[in-house]
Amino acid sequence: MKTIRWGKWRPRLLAAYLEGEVGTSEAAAAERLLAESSDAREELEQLRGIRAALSNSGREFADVDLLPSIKARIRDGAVVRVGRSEGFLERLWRRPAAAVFAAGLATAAVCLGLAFVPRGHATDEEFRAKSASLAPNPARWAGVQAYRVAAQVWFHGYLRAPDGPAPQPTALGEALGPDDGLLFSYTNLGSAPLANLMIFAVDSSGEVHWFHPAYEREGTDPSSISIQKGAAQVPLAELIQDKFPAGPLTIHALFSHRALHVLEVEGWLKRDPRANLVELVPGSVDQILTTRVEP
Amino acid sequence: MRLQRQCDDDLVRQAREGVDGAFDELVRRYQVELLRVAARYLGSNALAPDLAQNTFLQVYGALDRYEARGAFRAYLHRVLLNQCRMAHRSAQISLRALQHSEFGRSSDDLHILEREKQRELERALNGLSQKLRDVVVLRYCGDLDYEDIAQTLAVPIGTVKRRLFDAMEKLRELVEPR
Repeated sequence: MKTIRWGKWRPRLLAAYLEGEVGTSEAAAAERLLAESSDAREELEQLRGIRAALSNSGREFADVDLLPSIKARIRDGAVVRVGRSEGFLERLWRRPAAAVFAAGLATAAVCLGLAFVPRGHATDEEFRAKSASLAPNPARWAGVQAYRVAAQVWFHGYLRAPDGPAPQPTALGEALGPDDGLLFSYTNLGSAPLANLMIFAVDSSGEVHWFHPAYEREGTDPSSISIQKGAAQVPLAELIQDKFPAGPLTIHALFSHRALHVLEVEGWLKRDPRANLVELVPGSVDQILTTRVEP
Repeated sequence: MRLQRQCDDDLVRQAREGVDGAFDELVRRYQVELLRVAARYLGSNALAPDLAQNTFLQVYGALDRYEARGAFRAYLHRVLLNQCRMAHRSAQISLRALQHSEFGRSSDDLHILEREKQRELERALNGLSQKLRDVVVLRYCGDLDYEDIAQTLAVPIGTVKRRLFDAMEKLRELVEPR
């Protein structure tokens, strides 16, 4: 019969025992060890805790749906299927220098681009960001992430309930409650990052709601907020509370090189609610997110 | 037969032939586990959707080259791990900055403690060698069995087990209260 000696194998024995990956003799050895040693019992509990923490992580992803964004990218030609007849290695062999260069570029793009690729939780509309410039394409590098803060977690104006669990803003999806709050963060990478950002929404009645910059008093004309260049997932601390009518809500994140003014943008939208802002502001990126405000 | 009841290889074959919804079903089937693995591997929820999405896109792009051997899940995770490793190595993105900027965190005391525990675990995972981290993340976050992990990493099952047990002990040492 195989005898398990404690020594250096003891840690592995306990981990294997926890996993149920021991034979009869090892199980007996582990149980003897646990019966005799409080240290061993403590170690086993620690291992159990680590396993539980790892297994329980990521529950917040249960409602995430990557499908709309994946389909949008496939539809937009972001990925092309490579046929069996001409695989990557074959092309590499045929044109080694070009292929190695392209592979290097692609790798660099992936490394650099991980933080800007549109979020999986968004609707298809989020990925219809347009750019007036062809290269480098700023729409690939600039974008916002939107989060919804459910209304029931409000308590005396603070983002927490007195006894319940602390609120967890969730990625903005297809629906928004009438009293929900909104939070945003932005990513602004690439070789020519932009300098200014406006975030606003157009509700079902055509009214424009300003989030960043805030537009609270008539007679003023605030301009775009300045944004960090070369930064990813920068939070905009202000929590947006607004009353939206039920129906579709279109959120624009307008990145631009020059600072724009609220009245100038409102003027364009008044003339044409479907105005192509990218054509009006050369070099800009207009990321559009759509959601629906529930009654 | 309904797509939900078909095996991965059949879905790949149908996706290749252009059957509507076949690739969608593969995404639905595996997206959550990919997100969990990516988030834990990088210690950042913020990047996980991008990595998972890139993985599916890469797999879609190579559908015609996939060889049906009943190991699609392992194949998918192999692609994801490559994405994760690239991201992990990338000096262009400050994961720490991203972690600080994540909104899905609160200032509640309980959550601060929980968050500290999670960070400690993240630090410990970062302290593992890549080989050990791969195994432990696939096993507990991806919920892969030993055989799937062995196929993903192209190593024998015995090696998977040994690495897992070593990883757990190493993690225990790293997170043990000082």
